[in-house]
Amino acid sequence: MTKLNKYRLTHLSNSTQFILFSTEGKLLESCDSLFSTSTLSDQAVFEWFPFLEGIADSLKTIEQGQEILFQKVQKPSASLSGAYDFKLLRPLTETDTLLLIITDYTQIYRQYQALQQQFNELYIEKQHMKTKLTSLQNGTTPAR
Amino acid sequence: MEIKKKIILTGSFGVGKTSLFSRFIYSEFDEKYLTTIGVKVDKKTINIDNDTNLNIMLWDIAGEVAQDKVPLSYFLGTSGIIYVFDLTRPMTYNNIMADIEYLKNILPEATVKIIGNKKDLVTTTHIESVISGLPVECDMTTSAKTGENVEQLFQSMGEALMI
Repeated sequence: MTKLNKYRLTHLSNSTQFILFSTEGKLLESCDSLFSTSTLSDQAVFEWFPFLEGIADSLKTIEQGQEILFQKVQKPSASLSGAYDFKLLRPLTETDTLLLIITDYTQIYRQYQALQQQFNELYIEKQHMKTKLTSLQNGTTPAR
Repeated sequence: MEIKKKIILTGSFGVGKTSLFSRFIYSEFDEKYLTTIGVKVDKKTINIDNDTNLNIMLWDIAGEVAQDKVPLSYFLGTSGIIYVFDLTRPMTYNNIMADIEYLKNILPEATVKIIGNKKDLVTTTHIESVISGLPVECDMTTSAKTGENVEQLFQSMGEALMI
């Protein structure tokens, strides 16, 4: 059993992609469940996603056993157009390797966004009404 | 020489962070408010001087009523913080002191810019009144809708990050 298959069995999901890469960003293995890495192998893994590109130096310092979770990452690359969680960790058994686990939560986060949208719109409207009311009570002109 | 820096847009929801993001990255503006959940990241290169280009990794972070509600992982590796408030909504700057103190505490090395957005919706008198009442210094006022001061905001942040 390869190392990657061992990790897959632990966190098995059709909507999850496992990518092993060196701390310098060189691709070692990918299960390609969500997107193909065949045309990307010349690039450092950090460069596949703008959000990882900006924090590559910080990620290199992840300690063994430590995990960093980035939830609800929207459209992280040209090949991933939904909403995903990115978990990065340095496996206990590997010293110069990072494991990236990308899970597709697009459907769940779409529902979450719809609810959040309703909540925020109501909250903002309430704030505007409160501001207008205060202005009228003070005899001043509302800001908008 | 090309340098990469991570800059975050943060603040309460509905203040125009995503509009500033879209105006700067794509030169676009959409009147419709669409709530951001989580984070969206894209990049743009600006010229600092003849020898230096700054590749900005811009993180548009979902708005929260208080900054301590933002997941800590989003702040990892941040060099610049753009804290945005809405000039038309006092609730988005009433908590500004606590928010800025929190951000400076978790990111002591980061450069912070405080921005009042939606200046197209209010009068100059109103802007002056809001800014003079803040417990912190407002660095700039912007309009993502008209584009006023948006390029200047990122240019000044970029230059500050190179010092």
